[in-house]
Amino acid sequence: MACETVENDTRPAIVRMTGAVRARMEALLFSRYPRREWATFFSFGVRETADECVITIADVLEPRPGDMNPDIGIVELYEQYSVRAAMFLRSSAIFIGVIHSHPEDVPVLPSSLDDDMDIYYRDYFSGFSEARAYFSLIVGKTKNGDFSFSGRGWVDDRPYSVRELLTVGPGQIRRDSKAPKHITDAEYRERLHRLYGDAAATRLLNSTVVIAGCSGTGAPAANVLARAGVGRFILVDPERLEKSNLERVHGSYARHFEERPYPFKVETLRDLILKINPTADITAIVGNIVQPFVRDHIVTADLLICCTDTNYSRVAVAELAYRYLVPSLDVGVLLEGQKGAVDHEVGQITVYSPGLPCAYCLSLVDPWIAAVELMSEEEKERRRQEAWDATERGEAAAPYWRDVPGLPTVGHFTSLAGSMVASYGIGWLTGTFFPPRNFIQFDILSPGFGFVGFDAVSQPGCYCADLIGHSDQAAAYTLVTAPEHWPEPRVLES
Amino acid sequence: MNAEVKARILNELALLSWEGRLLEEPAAVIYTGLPSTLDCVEKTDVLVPVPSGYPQAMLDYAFLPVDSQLKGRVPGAIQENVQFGDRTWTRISYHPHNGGGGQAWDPRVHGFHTYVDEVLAWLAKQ
Repeated sequence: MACETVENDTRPAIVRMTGAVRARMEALLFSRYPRREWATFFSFGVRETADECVITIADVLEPRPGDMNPDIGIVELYEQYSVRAAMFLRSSAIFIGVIHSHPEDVPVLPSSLDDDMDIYYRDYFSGFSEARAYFSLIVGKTKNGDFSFSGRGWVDDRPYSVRELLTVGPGQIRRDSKAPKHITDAEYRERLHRLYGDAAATRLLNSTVVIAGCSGTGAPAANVLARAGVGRFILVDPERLEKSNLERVHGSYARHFEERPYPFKVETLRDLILKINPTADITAIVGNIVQPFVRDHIVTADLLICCTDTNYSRVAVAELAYRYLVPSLDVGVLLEGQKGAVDHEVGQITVYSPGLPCAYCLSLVDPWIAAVELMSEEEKERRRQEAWDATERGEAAAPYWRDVPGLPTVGHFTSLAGSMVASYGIGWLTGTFFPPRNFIQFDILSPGFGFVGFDAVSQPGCYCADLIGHSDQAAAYTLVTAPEHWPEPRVLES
Repeated sequence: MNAEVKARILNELALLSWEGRLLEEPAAVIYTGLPSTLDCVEKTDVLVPVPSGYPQAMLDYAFLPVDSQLKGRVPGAIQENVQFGDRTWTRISYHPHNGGGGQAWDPRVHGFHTYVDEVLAWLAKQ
């Protein structure tokens, strides 16, 4: 349990928290600044991936009067506070960690006292939980107000070192990194720098954006984000291009259809992004956001832009927002009309962020359509046959099968919707602007563009309100999982 | 079986007042010893498969043991026989959440812990 052994094989960790939690923590931790420290316990969830660990801070267990020694400059936590934290741990599936401040201008490296504290609490809390995870964070500020942090932790006996803090919430996505990238080619985005400032451009460079669904809306969204200077992309789509995609998928060209098999959509979008920005870091995954392997990548991202326009993916992105604190913008389009007369071209953008309502709270899920989206072709065929048999018997066919009409979309409108959602992504990432409402619907063929927008709240008792930051420890309350008939996801080699 | 699906189902089975057992391959839950109102059948086992994408995909259908005397007496068309583990079961068309009288499927509310009530109501309808 000695800290010296922790230095071996230490892997990186990312800490995610909501803006509300961070504000509460900072108010507390810097309340005795500039010369005195303060501390608090916090609860957190954990997801370990092959390469790293992502912890999600669920809540702050703020100290009460008498929980810590107020008469000394350093942190001294009394037993009553530790016992209260341990009792929380015993009754919960998530874990307890501690965060404390160092005085102004003092480096945030752990002192020998901090080492002792971590040795003590790691051992102490392990007696109150079947699973064992403990993290300890240190934060500080300089006279200039510059924020710094350090952190370390263990999941069972695996040691981690915190490299990044991601703070998310409506209107805020902030990444504090130990090794941020710096702009070297400002000329390319001179207008963006002028409009939003250098900090915004640096923020985009240090952002990781997931594009889930790399077709009609996803491809133009990625196109816009790449030109804006987003530094890292995770592209997710299970499908190969089809000829009909040429009409709306940016980055697809006639030459892609000269030989079979046609390329994967993530492949052509990766090529497009690299043509715009050869230094972009791109992970192209042939897979689906519901699959655990893909989720391992998504939990490292700043923002998820979901362009799949399916019922189950709305459930999945909402779950990623509240359990894993990954904010997202979900976009969909609908064109209505027939025989050459188009009556409506409707776009819909939904913001999912921890604390905001999920797709169920927003009534955006049709259970039958979601079930069909997840069915195997064999099951669909069997159900169609049973529906036909039921009709022959004079019974209703609907309980067996109802057709789900495909939604026709065309390139001019998917490009518009994809560009729109990308612009809101740029605004959210840079903190410069945010969608006017958390749910937006518009129809470009209606007067006033048929704008509908509202900010809803979570239904009382919904998972989206109760499981914020619970990560993998809320597995028993998962709402959507990957069907076993889906192919295993994989990262495309560059 | 996906670890999250398994965690979810085991959590639901822990909430059951009746005995329920998870089969992992092929994935299904067997409710054991459910009461029947049929004179000659005191108790029955009922199998319900875990659908692809569960719990977003709704629970649907119910399976009776292949030699069950309840077949043809409980509502629903008799479909094919299917092997689950070491037993053969007959699929019966029963769709409580898909137009069969139950609430619309909501995975925040429904699961194997609530589906048992639908199955009990179905067994009582003979």
